[in-house]
Amino acid sequence: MKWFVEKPASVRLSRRALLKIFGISIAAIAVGAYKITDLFAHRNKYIKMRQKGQYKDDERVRKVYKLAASHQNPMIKRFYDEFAIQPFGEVSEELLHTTYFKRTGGF
Amino acid sequence: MVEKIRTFPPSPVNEKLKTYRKGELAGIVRVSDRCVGCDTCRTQCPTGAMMGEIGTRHKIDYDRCINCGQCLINCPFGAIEQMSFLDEVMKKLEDKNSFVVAIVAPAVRVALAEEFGKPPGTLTVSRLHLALKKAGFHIFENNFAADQTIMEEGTELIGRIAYWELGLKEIEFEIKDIRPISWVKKVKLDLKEFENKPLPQFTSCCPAWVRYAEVYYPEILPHLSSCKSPQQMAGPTAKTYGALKVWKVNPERIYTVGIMPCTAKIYEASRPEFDSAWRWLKEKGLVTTKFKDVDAVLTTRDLAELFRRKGINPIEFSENEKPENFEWYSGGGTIFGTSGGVMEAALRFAWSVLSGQEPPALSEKWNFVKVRGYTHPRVEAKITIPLKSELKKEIGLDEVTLNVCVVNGIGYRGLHIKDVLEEVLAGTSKYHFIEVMTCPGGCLNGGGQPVEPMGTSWIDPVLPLPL
Repeated sequence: MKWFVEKPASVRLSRRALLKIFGISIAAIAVGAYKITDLFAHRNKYIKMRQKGQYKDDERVRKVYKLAASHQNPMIKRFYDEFAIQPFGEVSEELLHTTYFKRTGGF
Repeated sequence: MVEKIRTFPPSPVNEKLKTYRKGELAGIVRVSDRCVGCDTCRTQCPTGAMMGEIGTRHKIDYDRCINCGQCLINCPFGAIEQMSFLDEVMKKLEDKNSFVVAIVAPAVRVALAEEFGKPPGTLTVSRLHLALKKAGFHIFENNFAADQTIMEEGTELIGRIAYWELGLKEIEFEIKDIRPISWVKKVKLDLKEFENKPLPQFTSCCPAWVRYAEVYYPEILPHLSSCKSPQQMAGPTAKTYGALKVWKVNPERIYTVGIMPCTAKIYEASRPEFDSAWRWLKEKGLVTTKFKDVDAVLTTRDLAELFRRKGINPIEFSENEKPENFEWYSGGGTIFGTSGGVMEAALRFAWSVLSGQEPPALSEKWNFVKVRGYTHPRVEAKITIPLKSELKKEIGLDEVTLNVCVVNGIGYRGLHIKDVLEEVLAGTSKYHFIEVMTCPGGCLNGGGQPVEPMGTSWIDPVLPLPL
């Protein structure tokens, strides 16, 4: 009486099927690992997104108010006409310029 | 989702410090006892101020620290805390006698929305202004002050080049704009004072970089532009011109609050020489009690907390209000927040002034894409500017070529800047103008910005190979 006869492995799973499964698993692991590294490679994505926002604002100001460069700003014109007179003028030197300080930490 | 960063009220440090003057704030970022010693911060520190090893609680050497806050935004455990003036500002907003002015930095508008559930880069401009007004602030765009900075710093660059490269004794030129009506500003510079201002010129907008130069490379200081940073131009302008001619209020009532993406700005506002508005007004007999140019500084995170406490959501306001007074700014002013922006804004100004050209605002000619930092640690470019006919006669050249360099993040222990500085000190630098931003990416990745946990580079030190 035969209770149970174990089939040879090659019957349950042919050599070809085994290769197929292994191949697919390796591919899956590789793709997954690639995706994960991808995630880290783009870990500074938020910097790029904020940069994009900054240049979008540049474009917006230029499109809506026609102001590309600093000297076109109407309030800048007012500031120099009514108050500071000219860059590096007397008022500018007193309010907008500074000096620096040597700090010796001994490093 | 942004990470919550703990804060503490302004308090003095109980240590004897060598690189601070009386009155200057030290210890703006500090390591709390929640530090697990993962050592991520040490690899982000540009000066080697972070002390400690893997597994031990880290500590900041305040004498070496330049307050950039990169350790704070890169800490994967939120263990680094920030000094905050929020309570003081809240009190001032309640006080009916104070005229509270918000100085809003360029990089705040691209990041604040993250605290209210929007993706990074979402623009909040007029809705941010409206929300601030609702909270009780008056608006002074730091972008306006950035435009002021360009007027001064661009003029300074022209002066330095005229003196050192062209050997002139004085120079006269016109700053003009043809739209909407013709406007001309004649500038006459006596170049004698530029004897002490050698080339190349460094930007001085970044307070962490200024402190880095002061502590580590003091010989470089004559090369730093003498212009204050936009925040420190905004303070005195608000308290003099703003108070006397625009808002018509008593300068003593004005309380200026810098709203900055930056922790080093908190330190900058405390520098003792920054009381120029008080000195100027006192000379004219208009005020008596002493005050600072910028009274308090909030980070972008602090501002979000202020809005939350007041129950204001800036996202809900209109984005289409027309600017008035100090809310006006140019494209050149707003790109100050990103690496390469100061350079590009200065080039737009210098190019227009020297070549006499005024193309339409959307023209490609205003874009100096070559100097944009993006994510490269260092960018260099050669910009050729044709001279207009009057200057051709005055100078005797057809065009000038500017060599410029943008340092996008000082890097680990000065990695990206050391050789630039050594070259300048050795006298072999080919550059005319060098922009330095302490934080990689510029202000928009500053130590006061909302913290994106995915953006932290804590994984860097554990990886066997760079990705």
